[in-house]
Amino acid sequence: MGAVHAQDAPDTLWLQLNEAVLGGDSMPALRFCEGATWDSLNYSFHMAADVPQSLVVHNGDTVDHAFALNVEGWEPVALVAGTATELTLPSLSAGSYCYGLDSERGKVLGGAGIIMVGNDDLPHFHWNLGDWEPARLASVAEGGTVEEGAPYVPRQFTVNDRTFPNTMNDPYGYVQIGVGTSCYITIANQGSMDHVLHFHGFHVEVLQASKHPERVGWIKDTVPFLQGEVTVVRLDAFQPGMYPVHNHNLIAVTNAGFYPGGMITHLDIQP
Amino acid sequence: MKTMLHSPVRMSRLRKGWSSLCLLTLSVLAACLPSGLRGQALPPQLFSEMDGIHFLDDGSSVPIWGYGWVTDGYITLPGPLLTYNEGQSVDLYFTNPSPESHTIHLHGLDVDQANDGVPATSFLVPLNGEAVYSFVADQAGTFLYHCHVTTTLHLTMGMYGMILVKRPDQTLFEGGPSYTDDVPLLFSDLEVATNLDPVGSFPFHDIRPDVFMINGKQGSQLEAEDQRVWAAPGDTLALRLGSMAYSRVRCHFPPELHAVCHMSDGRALPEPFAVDSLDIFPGERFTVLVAPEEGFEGSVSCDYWNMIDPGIEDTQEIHFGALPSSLDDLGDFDTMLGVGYPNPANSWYAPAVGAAGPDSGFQGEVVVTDLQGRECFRGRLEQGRLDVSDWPEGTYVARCGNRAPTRFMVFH
Repeated sequence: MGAVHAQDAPDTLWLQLNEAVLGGDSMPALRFCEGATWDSLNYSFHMAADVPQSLVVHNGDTVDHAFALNVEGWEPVALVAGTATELTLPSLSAGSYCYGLDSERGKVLGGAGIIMVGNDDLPHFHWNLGDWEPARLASVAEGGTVEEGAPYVPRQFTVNDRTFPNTMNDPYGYVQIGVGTSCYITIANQGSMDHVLHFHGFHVEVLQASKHPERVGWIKDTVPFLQGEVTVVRLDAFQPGMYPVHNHNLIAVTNAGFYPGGMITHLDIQP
Repeated sequence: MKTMLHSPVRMSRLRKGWSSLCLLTLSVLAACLPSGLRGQALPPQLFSEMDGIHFLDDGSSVPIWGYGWVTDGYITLPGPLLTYNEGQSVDLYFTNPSPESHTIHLHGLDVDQANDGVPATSFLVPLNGEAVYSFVADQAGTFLYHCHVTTTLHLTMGMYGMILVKRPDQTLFEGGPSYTDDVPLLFSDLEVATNLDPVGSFPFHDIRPDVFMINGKQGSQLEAEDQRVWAAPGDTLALRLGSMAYSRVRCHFPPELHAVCHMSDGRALPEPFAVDSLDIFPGERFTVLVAPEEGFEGSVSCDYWNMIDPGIEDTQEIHFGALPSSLDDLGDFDTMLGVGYPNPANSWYAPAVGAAGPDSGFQGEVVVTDLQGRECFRGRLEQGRLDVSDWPEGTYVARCGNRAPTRFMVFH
């Protein structure tokens, strides 16, 4: 197992619009893919600290977008439909960040990933949280907008664009480490609602919480994530076994209403 | 107790004040204590049921599922408060006579996989099954427990409760601040339609709570004297805030409480901080020390925010009452010992105030058993009180005539 346990920074990302199947529901989705071939999983990656990174982004959607990065001072970079844009990810200090699209269409359709910078002395897993209302996605994909005050009824809840039990097959989200070792986990809430994860078997130390800075240093078993928040925690695996980590807003541990599903993954601590 | 009359400070004041008045009664009661009371050889046992009834503030009732003590024979919402001492090795006995399988997940206690209460990785307790959950309560703090079978449904139906792990020196944690008494406050909610028709509530992703509770109470129920938090001058109360809600709860602390947050999720914070409002997400816990100003009569407002479409769904209040510092000023409070949740006592137990008001202390025969069903006391309480000052710590069940049995716990 590599120390970072995340994908490498790409030279190029392809923003693509296609159908994703989540928890039995098919829905239109935007994804940042590493290759020109459709991938239903957004590409999250690791970068070295304090080193800028050039990146080419192909906008395969039918409308213009802008590339957003939750870094202070970052100005969204226009991504013209059907063209490639070269941009430079800035030199970033150690921590985790999220990238995505700054439009309602981009956010609703889910084009968003995580950038982990530094924090490479331990295995570093990541959970990109999402919530999805297929009818809303279909409407927005067809050019509609989200009516203000319209009730939101998400039917699917994802970790790295997967619903449980598919989260068990996620090499970057399914935490498998040995007892007595430690790892980092980056959690980014890129959904349309707040979320909260409960860790079975362990407490974690909050190292970064972009919207809860007062919580850095807290030791928690239940960690909330506001919309758009990026959090890094450290897990010290003191006991072996298989332990769920799941949303404790329990409507979110379902797939189209079926339990169990949705926002559940596991800590697999090997003896 | 709530907090009030059961604090060591409060009880010592009471005992002094009542010492001459109750001398005869105490002597009689002491003579009545059976030798079997000296130890509870058999462990208390939780059970689960799916046929409970919970009364709402408007007088209506909803079906609930939940936990109760076997010796009580009934379930409550929330389930019984489980209290352990820091460092205690615990065997939690559980039996399930209900028609569906259940478990107990010990939320936040970091137990091992075998005792984690998750069906897929631990075990189910089927109909008529029994189980023992074993763990060491190695961290003082506030924790929760709940069923982890079809959790989305079983939780909203009421299968949850709070766990306190306490230190004998009445400090929050090693090297932490001391306090007068604990005030367990468990936030939760439910959707009436789901409780009325759990099978028909599928799909579960659109459960939207419409009843919002603190310790299972709401609205005017929380104004009742036995639900208020009572503080005497100089008291420092540990508010044990936990959430089993599907909502985010935002508590607003009046400045007169001088609230300081010291712990979350059973761990000391790196730095305590003064708090005027505090968000509690589902599954989180916080310990907030409050030192109410003398005479403070107010409330902590608790907003229940919709987690999906942000907006306040409801507001409930934690009402505070001021106790006088002088026993002479206690007035009718002296009949209110032993009520509320979790109903602990360290010196005295008295049945709850009757419907006729605070002067209607129970006058009939009282039977008290321990959790193994062994009778510990039978008789009349001439002063409306039972001296439990030298009883073993534990949970007991009091039956007062035709009233529903009530639990109380003895701590020293």
